Amino acid sequence: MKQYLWLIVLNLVCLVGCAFNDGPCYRREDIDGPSGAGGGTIVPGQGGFGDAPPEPQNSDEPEPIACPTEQDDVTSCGDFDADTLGQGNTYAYCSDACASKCQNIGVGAFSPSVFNFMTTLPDDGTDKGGGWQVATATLKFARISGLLPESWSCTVTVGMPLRTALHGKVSAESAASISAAVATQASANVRKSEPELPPGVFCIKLIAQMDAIFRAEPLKSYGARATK
Amino acid sequence: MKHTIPELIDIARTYYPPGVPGDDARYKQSPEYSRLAAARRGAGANNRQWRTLLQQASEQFSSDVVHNDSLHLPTGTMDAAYSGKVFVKTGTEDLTIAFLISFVAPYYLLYSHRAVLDPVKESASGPRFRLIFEGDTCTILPAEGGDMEEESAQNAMLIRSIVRFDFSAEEKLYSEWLAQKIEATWGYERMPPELGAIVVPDIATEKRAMGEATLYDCLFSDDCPLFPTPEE
Repeated sequence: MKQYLWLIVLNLVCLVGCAFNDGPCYRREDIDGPSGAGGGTIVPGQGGFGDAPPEPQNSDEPEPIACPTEQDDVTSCGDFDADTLGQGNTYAYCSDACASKCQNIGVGAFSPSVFNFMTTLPDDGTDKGGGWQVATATLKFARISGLLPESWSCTVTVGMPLRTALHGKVSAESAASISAAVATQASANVRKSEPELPPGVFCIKLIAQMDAIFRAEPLKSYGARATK
Repeated sequence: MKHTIPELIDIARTYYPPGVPGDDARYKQSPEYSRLAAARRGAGANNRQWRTLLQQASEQFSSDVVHNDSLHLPTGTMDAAYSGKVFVKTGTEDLTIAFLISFVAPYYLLYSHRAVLDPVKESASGPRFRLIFEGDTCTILPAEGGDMEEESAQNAMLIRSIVRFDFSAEEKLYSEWLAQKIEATWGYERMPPELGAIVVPDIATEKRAMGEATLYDCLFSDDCPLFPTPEE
């Protein structure tokens, strides 16, 4: 009986050791491809290591990369290309250890350039308001919460008059700046109140919160609407 | 009431495809949706009475701001009603008196709306995050061990809408004037809350899922805040 126990202990020791030190390591995306189901995928800069591809391996197969050590896994941060963020099928990985690098990619707000307003109804110049402009934006989110990173996107359409009683003409640039600021604040509001919402519910709540912000002071006199 | 509940539900089914979710491609291809889009365009094109009401309201409430929330109607999108708002200058409150006049059924809707800020309280035991924004990408990171909190998250306040159908003495100055003008111009009735809150089975609007859409959503606008049920 004691012999079997020793075998089990030896196997466990080997398994723990092998997880960090033995055998080749590959990036998950090299094995599974660049995109998983349900939206863009997060590619860990140095995490996300999968099992070795099945034999046989040849020159067309992905090159192994250096395995992380147990210490590396906690304290180091791999490189990632910040320029690729925002292109839809891009990857980002930001653990606590990567926080400083994440900070460098910009903090603060969605860019107004995300909201490209187009006039759908010209202003006829009569009355105290007129015209209508619309922008549809795809807002992308990535959540790195421990071992299970997630990414998803929410499509939001914002409509706004070209002219209002209180503000006069509302340019496409102004509309975009307002929309970006509202999207930013709504994102913060929703994720902070319910940090672990599933992506689909997050998007519904995001649009509802954007609507609520649009309906409140100081923005309500712009008469903007947020829809799916 | 001019209609029974089944009759009102039948009217809703004229303009919203039964059994089709709002995000289904068949939704906007349905004859019901085409009918509603045409009604919107028609209401947008033939809006003389509506514009007159807005003009009169602006003169009546000259110290407040009267907003036309139906400028988009000629595009055929959003709402089944003319929608207007009086932004009441109270000095202390964020108060709006909203008035909607359906163009698919002979009813109107009046309510008061207040936006209140609820500071977001994070659960002490729950995970904490911070946001990193880059262009159209927002990355949410765990905040543990870090002292960074982005400004927007520090200021996170959930905005909550308080909607009421029973008006205060101050609000009645607006609601009674608007009701009188609407009834005199269109001959419509005010939709009672106990009817407006009825869920229309098997119908979705663009913002409300099946099982959530009420007569208010279908006959007026699903862009309104969620209305309280009569019990509330």
